[in-house]
Amino acid sequence: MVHSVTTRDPAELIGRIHRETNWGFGRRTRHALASVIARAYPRVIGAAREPSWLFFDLVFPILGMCSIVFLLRSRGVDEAWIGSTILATALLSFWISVVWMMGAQFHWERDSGNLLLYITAPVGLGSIALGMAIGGALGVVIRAVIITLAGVLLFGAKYQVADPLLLMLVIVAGVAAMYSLGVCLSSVFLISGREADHLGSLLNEPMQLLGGVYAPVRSMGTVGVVALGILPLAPAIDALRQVAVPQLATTGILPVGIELVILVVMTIIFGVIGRSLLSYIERVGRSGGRLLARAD
Amino acid sequence: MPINVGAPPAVRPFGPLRGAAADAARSLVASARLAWAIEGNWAEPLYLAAFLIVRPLAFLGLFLAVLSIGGALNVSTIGFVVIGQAVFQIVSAALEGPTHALLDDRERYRTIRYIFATPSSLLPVSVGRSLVKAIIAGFSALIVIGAGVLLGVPMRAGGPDLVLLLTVLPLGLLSVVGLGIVLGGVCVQLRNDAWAYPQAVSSTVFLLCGAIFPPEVLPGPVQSLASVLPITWWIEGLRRALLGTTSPGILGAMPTSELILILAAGTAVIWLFSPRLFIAGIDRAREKGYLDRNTAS
Amino acid sequence: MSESASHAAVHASDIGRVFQAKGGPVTALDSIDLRVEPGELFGVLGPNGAGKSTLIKILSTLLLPTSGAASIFGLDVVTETARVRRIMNLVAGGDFSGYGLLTVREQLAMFAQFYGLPYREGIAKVDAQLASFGLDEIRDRKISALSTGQRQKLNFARSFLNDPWILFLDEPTIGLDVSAARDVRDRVRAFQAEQPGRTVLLTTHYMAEADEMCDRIAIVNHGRILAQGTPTELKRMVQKDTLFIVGIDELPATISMDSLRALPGVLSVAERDDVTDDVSGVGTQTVRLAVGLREDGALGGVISALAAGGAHLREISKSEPTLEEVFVQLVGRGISESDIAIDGA
Ligand SMILES: Nc1ncnc2c1ncn2[C@@H]1O[C@H](COP(=O)(O)OP(=O)(O)O)[C@@H](O)[C@H]1O
Ligand SMILES: [Mg+2]
Repeated sequence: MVHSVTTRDPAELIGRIHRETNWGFGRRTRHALASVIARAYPRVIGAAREPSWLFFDLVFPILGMCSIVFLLRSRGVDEAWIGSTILATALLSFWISVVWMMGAQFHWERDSGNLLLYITAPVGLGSIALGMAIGGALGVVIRAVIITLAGVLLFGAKYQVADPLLLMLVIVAGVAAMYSLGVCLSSVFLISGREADHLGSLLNEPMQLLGGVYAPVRSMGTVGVVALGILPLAPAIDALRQVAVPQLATTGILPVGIELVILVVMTIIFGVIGRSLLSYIERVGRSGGRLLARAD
Repeated sequence: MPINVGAPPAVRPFGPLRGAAADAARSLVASARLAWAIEGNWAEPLYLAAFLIVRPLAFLGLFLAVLSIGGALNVSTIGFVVIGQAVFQIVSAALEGPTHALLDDRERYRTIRYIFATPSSLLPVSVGRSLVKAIIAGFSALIVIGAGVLLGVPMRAGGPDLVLLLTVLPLGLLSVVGLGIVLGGVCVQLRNDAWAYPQAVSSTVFLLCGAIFPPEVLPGPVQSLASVLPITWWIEGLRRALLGTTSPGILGAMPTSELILILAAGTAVIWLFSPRLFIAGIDRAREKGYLDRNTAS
Repeated sequence: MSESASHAAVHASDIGRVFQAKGGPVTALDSIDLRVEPGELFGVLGPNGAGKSTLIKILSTLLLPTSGAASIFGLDVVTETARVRRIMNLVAGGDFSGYGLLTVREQLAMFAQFYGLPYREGIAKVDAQLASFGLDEIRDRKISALSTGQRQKLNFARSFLNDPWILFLDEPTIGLDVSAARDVRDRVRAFQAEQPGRTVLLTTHYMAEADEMCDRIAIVNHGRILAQGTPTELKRMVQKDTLFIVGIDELPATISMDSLRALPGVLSVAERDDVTDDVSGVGTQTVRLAVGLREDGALGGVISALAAGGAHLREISKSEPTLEEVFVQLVGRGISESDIAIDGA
């Protein structure tokens, strides 16, 4: 029953295989890009496929937003803060997606058996993570827009954006820095070996406080200043507030330009760290035998 | 996690609630034990830190930071928020507890089918687990109150008003546990995302019950909802018992005796209906075959 | 690397793997030497905990060996991982991976991209695999709505997408019902037949699966290869003599077992206890004798002696020892017994 061992010249076969596995730069690049898109696809399509997810992804942020707005109203503060709260909630939904759909993702992928398939496929973890990030960010855009509209309708907030381009820049840079950090988190969650739920929870509400999402980090003192330097949410929200709600421009801690630079630098640094963390988990996973596959 | 629950109780045919009181009491105790074992991961350090300490404190900090946008805070405002935030830890645990317990059983432990064969025997189990969750959440509540004390919130001179505390605390606890099992009975009939519904409910209740801001800031029609919610009066009653002061506005305008009366009446109404609703819900879920299904994909 | 090594589909020399576990180091593999030729379907048979998955993980670049070296078609699994991954694929039984919200077709198309197929070619491959696995009807169904059998077929369809030169199957039919398992085995064979040189390395703890599918088998236990060879070679190891089963209507009163044993070339005669009712319904039974012979030719004497005594012959078959017997002899206990021992530990 030996199939075809003899029907083929082994040397010819080996030669062919060695040629086939020798991918040039062009092929490798095309493959990496195609893989990014392939991994982003389920993220983008996901929101549309499961309307009930979209529903809860909207209900919880909106309820949270309401409690902050009422809290502000109970103190009778300037309505401009309500406008800021709505935008902050929209931006926050990116961060929440970073925590759960980037940070906890590889953890889940490992437990579902996907990570094993990624590692043994010719695709790099970097492409997978980038696809996850891009797809994730695109998937959240709809959510963020709906949250903003809901806030405006419910609370009658008004915005005067003098420079829409700058606003776009701030949002894009903020989102990029958050997802770049997300790539690092995805490895950190795996390495920590802790329950992803618990870690994620630690990164959620506490970061809303530290990131100055609803109240400027100024009120946090030194801690707030440190947050500005390491937590993308902080400069992003601070800049957003200055650009979109002119009445609050004076609450800004740093000029918008500098905050933009901080965000770009963060994106690059977290990206570089993220890449090396990804090769680290692959290395440690292959040598230790724990990280990449469920111990079964 | 291996859980030793002893021999499963004998399978009883479908039967009415009454006539099973002794059984119910026994299985309440058994299920509280079971619940303690299952909820035992609260002793895991990261879980403890994340869910029982950091999260409630982060929220408290967030609320206080937002309030301070309107100027420096006085201790009575802080006290108002601290007690509301503390008590709400228990409220959300009790509201979400039974649903999570049922879904846990259904999807993770698969015990619903095997151990508790009748809706009436599921009731004490859910109540028991809900109580355990509420008690564990009480730990978070104490942490939050401790933080309040550190922030300078003056507690009632001479310690809490024990009479008021011991009247209000059990009544309120009963009312939230009762509401929680209604939610459990409803959510177990849902196919998808049943986990999220009780949380959505408790987040809504949070807005209504005057936990961190007085109900006056709510739009008119919604305000009246706040005053019929027993939870509103539970929190206010505990504020009076612990802080020794009454809140401003409509919350403070309610005399303490009437507050107790409303709370007691609310609790009674809830318990008049909640066991029936729970059992009806479980019955329907069983008919639809949802008790042994798994929503995970 | 020697010329012959570089021509093997799988070449492993002296592979060892030690895990650092909580209770101290665990030796999962202890000096494995293995050579699989291109085009072979090679089976690794062993009880739970024998080290089968560890071996597959090392060969499929998922795990590093702590000693020794291995190559796939001459590509080193430690240093040339990227190239190895371009020609391999993997199915691990019981792993149901993917994204629940994608459809079957979308899921496969996604993996086709990960495997580096050009888009159009990938889609064509996906559709071809869907057809060959009979998954056409459910191509637009969400992964979350699939049955266990369908998911495992999907897993196989995925593993064929890149036309791997080497396919690793770790307990591929675990949890499948009989017919789904048969489908999958048929597909694996067809896949190999399509292109000479495609090689399959499969682990299993099902004796029958190994026996039926594999060209060659290595029996492993405690991280060591105890024996390897074709199923026939392995069976011959436990039994050098031939054993015939002779079925007759009844043993004539004139013939004793001892008199049969005294015939030339006969080593042993024993009555088998698997007496069956006659299927023809006449109400008679078949008595089966297990006759051990020094060589096949000695059977004639036994048959004539029985016929002379008046017995009617119902059947004659040559009895092959089973892999189970091989396993018991090598390992000292049955494969399922050792399973229980592991599970209970
Ligand atoms: N990551 C790991 N850490 C520690 N021990 C492991 C790990 N993986 C496997 N082992 C141990 O190595 C041995 C072989 O395991 P495995 O290769 O999975 O066996 P099989 O697949 O034959 O059932 C077992 O004793 C197992 O407990
Ligand atoms: Mg295995």
